[in-house]
Amino acid sequence: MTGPPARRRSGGCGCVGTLVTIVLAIVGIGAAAWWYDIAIAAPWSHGDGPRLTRAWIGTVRTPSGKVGTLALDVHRYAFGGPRRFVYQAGRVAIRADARLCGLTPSVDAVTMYGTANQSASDVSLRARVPDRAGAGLTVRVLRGAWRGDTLELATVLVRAGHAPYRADDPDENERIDIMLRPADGAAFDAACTGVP
Amino acid sequence: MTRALTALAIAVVIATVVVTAIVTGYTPDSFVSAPWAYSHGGRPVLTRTWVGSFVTPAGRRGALLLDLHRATGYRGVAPVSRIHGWATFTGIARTCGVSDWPAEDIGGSANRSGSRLTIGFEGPGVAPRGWYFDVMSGSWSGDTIRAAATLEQRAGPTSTVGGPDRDTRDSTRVVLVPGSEADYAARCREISGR
Repeated sequence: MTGPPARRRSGGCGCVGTLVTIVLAIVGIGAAAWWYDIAIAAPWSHGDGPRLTRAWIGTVRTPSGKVGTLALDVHRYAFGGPRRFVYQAGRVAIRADARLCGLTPSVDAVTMYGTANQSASDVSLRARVPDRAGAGLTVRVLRGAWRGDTLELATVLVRAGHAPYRADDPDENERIDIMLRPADGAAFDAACTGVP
Repeated sequence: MTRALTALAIAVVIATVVVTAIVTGYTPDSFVSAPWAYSHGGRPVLTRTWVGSFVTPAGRRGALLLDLHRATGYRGVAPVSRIHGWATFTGIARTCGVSDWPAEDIGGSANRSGSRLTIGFEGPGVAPRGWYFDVMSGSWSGDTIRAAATLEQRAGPTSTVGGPDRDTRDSTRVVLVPGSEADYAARCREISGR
């Protein structure tokens, strides 16, 4: 007496083929996303040439004659930070670690979030931090354009800490243009040496 | 192996159809929610760059650029408005003549035909002294946006509407036509006399 004949498996479970399909799909989607980022979304963050995503330094001259130094270290980011900056149609989210000396008693360091358009002809950065103890004038908004070798941003200074806004102070009411140039971290330290 | 090849072929066909639909713009969004964002057959779209000049009720001259994009809804502005049947867009605005700030973020919505639309100007947060658009309403018809808005007077963290200033009380009307950043810059140079 023999049992029923063993059933032959004709096509296998297809696991290998499915796995290959999934891997190919992931590779294809990744390659397409990478190409899209380089060619369309943020060409200013790729390549060996000029890039927006790097360290910058510039001099801040206020309408009343005060002089300070602003350093920005600009990065891409996709996660974390204020939700509304993560994705805006036609724009890519950026983050900048900003440091300012000369206009405040000590170095004012703050993280700014924003976006840049495809050509970075419009770059927007804002700091969303609660008022902190302190004095002097500081930067909370920046907007302008990346020109390759320069980053040209406008700002209006705000009074640090809880000091009230002064309508008669030109530094708090007039646009200030800042021309930033590529730099490394040491440049900011050198510029701020001996500066309060 | 035959089953694997069949699955791969089906996946490739589906991916091709989806990518083609996205690239050509023939998606449900283009028929249902926001036909004004898709140029099927070469028809004009709302989501593009617009420029226009204006004179405020008090006689101040200015120029306006709007760069509009369809909102996608991915971790950002929802693609549909809270107004039934309206869809949303985002973008930036540039204004010269009445204020001195490079650009500001905007968001808005339009009905299915674009015959009615609203645009909210976010403002720079902390602003150089000047007049800024607040909320604009108008209509789009192919190659023209006709809109009107009252202005806010901003300085630093403050903003003022109403009051004795005609520009913050009465509407400023603007007609926008398709244009470019260069067109906008030319209008600004003309206004400033430089």
